Amino acid sequence: MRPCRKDLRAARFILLGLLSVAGSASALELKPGQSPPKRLYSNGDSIMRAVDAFFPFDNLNLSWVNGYHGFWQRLAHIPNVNAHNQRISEKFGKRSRKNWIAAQNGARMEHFKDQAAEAAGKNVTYATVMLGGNDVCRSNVSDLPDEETVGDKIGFRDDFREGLDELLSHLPKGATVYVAGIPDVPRLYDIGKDKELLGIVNCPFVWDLTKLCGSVLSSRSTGADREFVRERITGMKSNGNSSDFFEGYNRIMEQITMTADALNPEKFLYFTDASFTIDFQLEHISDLDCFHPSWEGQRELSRVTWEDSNGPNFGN
Amino acid sequence: MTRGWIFVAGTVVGATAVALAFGLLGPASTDRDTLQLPAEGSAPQVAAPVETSIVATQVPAAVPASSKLTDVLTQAAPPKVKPNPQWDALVSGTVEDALKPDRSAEWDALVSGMLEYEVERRFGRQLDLVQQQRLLDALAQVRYASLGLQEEPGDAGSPAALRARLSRTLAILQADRIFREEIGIGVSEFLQGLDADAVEDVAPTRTNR
Repeated sequence: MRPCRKDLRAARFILLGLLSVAGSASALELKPGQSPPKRLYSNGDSIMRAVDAFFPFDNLNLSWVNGYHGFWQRLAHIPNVNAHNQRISEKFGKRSRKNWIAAQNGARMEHFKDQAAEAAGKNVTYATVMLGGNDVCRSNVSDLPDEETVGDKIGFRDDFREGLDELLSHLPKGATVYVAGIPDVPRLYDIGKDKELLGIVNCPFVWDLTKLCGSVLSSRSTGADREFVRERITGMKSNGNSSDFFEGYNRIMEQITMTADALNPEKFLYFTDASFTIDFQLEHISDLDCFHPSWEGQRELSRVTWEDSNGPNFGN
Repeated sequence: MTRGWIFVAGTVVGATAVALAFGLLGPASTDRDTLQLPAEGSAPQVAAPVETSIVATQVPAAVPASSKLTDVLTQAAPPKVKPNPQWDALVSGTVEDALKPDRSAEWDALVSGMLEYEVERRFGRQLDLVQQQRLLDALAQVRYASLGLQEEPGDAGSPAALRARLSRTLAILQADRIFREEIGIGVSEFLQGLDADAVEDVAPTRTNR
């Protein structure tokens, strides 16, 4: 039996009604086919784990991606970074929420694949990636990884590509992947050189003592070394011209992410430079180690990446 | 007219569907446990004191972890938790009192109960009174120092502001050290255990830095 004209008209009006309501719901700031980012999974390093952001060692509640601010944090008046995790709950509701962190302290890009493998079977709908900080933070600049694979030595490009492929293989249709570029580590030197750790010793002394990120922060490293590291990250010289020798780690990640986005039309991939261009200030550096972001830095990182127009734009 | 009604009906159906899809319509009443851990941004429910129940006099009035606590309350043998006179203060007070910046009897009672419960649950041992007081004072210290650190300093670079930041940061470090001395883990990790569902750590291996 064929539906009559009147039935079709009625169905059309019901459909219009449905769409008008659906369109007005703020939770629907998603692209067609994109799943709500309720099942969150982060890949990263000690920045993701908010090491030394407030208490010594891990502060998962202060992670810019996975952070939370529950009753006990409120009771102890521990800071609130308004992480992606919290913004998702606020925007999309708390039902069916999951919040996984696979980030490891000290992880480099070569560990991305292992971290991504843990996403298997979790039906992750939103995965974040911020790795590479430890790739540029080596003992000295000559230790920075090659961009391309040479012989048995796997290059940065292939490490990232393999990690991303692994991650994508475990994500369902409609999932979102958000890759954040390597932060501007040389800038840490510029603003941290005048900071005093706990008001007792200055940061350059601490950097020498802890040997954290020698390629940039050691007293042996020069301005030229720091410029070199920045060039390796961005692929740009200090005068704004393209590097003669390097594509830049962040450009490599951006290019691979965009290519993967084109090859996976049912998944949604984004890359942001906001983690590099963020205007870090003195208070954004940890008072405990002069190296990691403080809770204020984590809060700022969450804000700029969430609001960045190149990101998923889940809404504010 | 008919079209109008159909459109209105479609809108209502659509609104209901969307509301259901996004959890806007909850059940009329929930099956939340009496002592369920509060959701983020809400205060925990405090059980009304039950005079005749031995459990009610031996379990902290407000402690975390819904299902585990339900188990504790329904199991035959009551848990071996020492009675704490401060729980009465908690029950008679309100959780909002405990959240106020000034340290209060309510805050002490709530945190004491939490410490006692969580240490036993996690490590299978009881705190003696000295240990409990030390941990309680450490958390109070965190609370005051943290509040101060989150205040907007008038002049962040002034010697006074730097001194204040230093003393508050040292207070946080000292509190963390006390936790490590008494129970072997820092404050952050301890509090994380109270919100087990807040984040799940699936890192392939764990290192300190």
